[in-house]
Amino acid sequence: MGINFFNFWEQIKLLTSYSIQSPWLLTDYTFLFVLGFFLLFYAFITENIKWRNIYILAFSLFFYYKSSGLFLLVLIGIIIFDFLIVKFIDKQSGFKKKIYFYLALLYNLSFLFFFKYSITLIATFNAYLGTSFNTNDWLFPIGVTFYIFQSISYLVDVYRKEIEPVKKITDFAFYMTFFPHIIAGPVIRAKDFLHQLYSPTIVNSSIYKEGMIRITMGLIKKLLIADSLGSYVNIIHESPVDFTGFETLISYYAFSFQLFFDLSGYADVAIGVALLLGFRIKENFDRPYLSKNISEFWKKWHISISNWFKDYVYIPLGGSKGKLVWSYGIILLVMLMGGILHGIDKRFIFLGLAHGAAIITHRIWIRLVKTNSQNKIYSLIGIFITFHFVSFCWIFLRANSFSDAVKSLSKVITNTNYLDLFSFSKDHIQLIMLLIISGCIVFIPNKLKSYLNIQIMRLPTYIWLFILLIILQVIIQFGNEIFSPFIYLQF
Amino acid sequence: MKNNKFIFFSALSLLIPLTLIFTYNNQENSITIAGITFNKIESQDPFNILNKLTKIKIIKDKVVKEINDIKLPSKEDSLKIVAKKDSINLCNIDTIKFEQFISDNSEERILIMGDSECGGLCRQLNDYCVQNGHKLVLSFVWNSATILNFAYADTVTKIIKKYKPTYIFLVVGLNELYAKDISKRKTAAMTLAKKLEGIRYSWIGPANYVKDHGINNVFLSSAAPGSFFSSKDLNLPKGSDNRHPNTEGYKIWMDTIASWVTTSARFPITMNKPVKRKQEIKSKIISLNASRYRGY
Repeated sequence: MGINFFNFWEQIKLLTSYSIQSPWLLTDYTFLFVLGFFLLFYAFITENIKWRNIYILAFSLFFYYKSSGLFLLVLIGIIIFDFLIVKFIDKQSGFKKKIYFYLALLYNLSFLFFFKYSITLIATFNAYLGTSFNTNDWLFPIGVTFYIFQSISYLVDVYRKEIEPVKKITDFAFYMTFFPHIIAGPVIRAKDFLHQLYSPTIVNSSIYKEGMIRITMGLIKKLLIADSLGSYVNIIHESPVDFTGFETLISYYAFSFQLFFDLSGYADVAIGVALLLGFRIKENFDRPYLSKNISEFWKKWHISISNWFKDYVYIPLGGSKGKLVWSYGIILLVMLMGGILHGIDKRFIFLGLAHGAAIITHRIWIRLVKTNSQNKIYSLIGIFITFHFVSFCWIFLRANSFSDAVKSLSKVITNTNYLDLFSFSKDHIQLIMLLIISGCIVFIPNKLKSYLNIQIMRLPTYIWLFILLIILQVIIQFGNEIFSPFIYLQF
Repeated sequence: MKNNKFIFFSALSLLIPLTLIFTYNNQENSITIAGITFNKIESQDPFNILNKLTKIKIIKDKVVKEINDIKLPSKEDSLKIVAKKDSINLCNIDTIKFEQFISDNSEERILIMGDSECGGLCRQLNDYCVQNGHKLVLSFVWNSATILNFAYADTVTKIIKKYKPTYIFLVVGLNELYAKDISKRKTAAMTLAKKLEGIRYSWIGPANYVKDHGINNVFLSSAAPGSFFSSKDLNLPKGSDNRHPNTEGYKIWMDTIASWVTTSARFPITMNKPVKRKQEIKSKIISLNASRYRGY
């Protein structure tokens, strides 16, 4: 096995300690190996719901410790406080209830603001006041946005009497820390998930196969395709002035696919792992690049976060029920909030506003122009425009600065020689092949996708041992030698 | 019971393939079928990482004692030999005179640092160190980094201060082959060269996969005369990404570097070819990624 038995306990000690340079992610081979042992013991306790939940909770806490170290204590603090305050709020009424609700909301949001924006604010402080506070060594917990959003959704749902508060703190902790989703979402709603804690585990042949398919596809998308595309994108952004308009344009498509495969791949692994445990997490991506308009895109991209903003910001502020101007204003505000969720930077502000403006434009368009949404040509044009709009906007997420993004865009728009395609293809045959494969996966027709799914599900159960072995080795064989971190970890 | 069966099967579906992969990674030999060598994933292998980290703890006390005992050579201690002509053809420059600084130390404390190519070279360098009685004190791999990172981050200074190498191998340039901002890179290269003053080093240029726009000449003119080794014309076997050399490529590369360092470098050290390859790396490897940590 390669383990030196003389150092066995030393190695166990090291395996159980946190390493800042290699935080655990669901796509780590080390984690998957440990997950195998976890499942081995899980198989024997799954009949007892109470012990099952405690076992998963313990592993989830351990997983978060391996991902974020002592920030686990922050998470535990948030869990304890929110559990107690929500129970307390549920017993209150009238004005008192409102006050405590807003205080609890402020408490949760303060963590989010601190971890996300303190460095930017201190840098601004330093710049304008001449101070020199050093934040170079500051670290922040991974996944803080997702579990704060989750906590807020629970708080609001209980406040609105949509759900009852959870009786046991261990159940609430389970909901908050469930390891498949804690690092990178999807954001799970309590009403969709909590009932599963009290239901018996069901993992039959089709659930097992579905789980394995999701994990395998997720690993291929993230470790093989996204990371490989990322290496080209990184080269371009290392020194953007050195590349032609055409090379930069190709990097836009590459980054679009990289971002989608990175996020959806990780979500696939999360959903697959949850399935193997007998739990079901909702889909987070629904073929977003096949959207015919920008409004549809935001119903299909990072669905859990989009729905969160819709249910907890857009609708409470009036949504589409108020006057038109107010409604458009709220759309801009919500999209702006989505932008600055990535950080306080001109790039992200512009990204949010651009998408907000696009949604408003689309709404005005459908009010003024009667279109036949069933028309295939109209649909194709819509998909083409939406995909390109989104891809060109993503540059503001990837570029090193706002000015770099603007320069890059203007180069692509004004200075691209499409005839470069032939020489570019000759020199970058692997990249072109990868882009074509990515395009096929992203734009595959629904009927073909369903057909392939059915055929894969028909494979015998035992074959998955070999499939995973082959896929894992193929990833090692052809995957990028430079491991690209999960994109959203930086946000 | 039905649940148990499929959950148990899920466990095996993960454990069996990963155990096979990790076991293969721990073997010295590689498997080749129909001309295709199955790659290994040292970085992903928990046992290799754990072994390395375990060894650090075991040798920690020994290293601390050695740091206290070591007497670092100064420039005055070195013997100076007047230049050899035409001894640096590999650098593609004409005859140039420089002084070779030969240390009286037989055992060097070697630090290798650089971009991802350093990650491949350090394993080969380890074999040379074991063969020649040198100590590879640290391998500092900064993936995706360029000369700008090394020049302007204080990481290099901190590492030199902590590990006190007597010899440094610097491997950089792969991520800036396309760079055209030559003056900016030149300034950075000069800054780094200044940081390395007082330490004996060899600056290894990238194994080009495309023609560069001048970065190799920047390094050549910035490094101390005779201390830059140009790798751009070495036709090394490449890995699946067509950028980095493969294992065989790194071996050939290191052999070429070693031959040059022994005979022609400004700062020569003994680097006889190792009898045994793939020796266990007992020293620490620090791995960073410039896309996450820029350093300045």
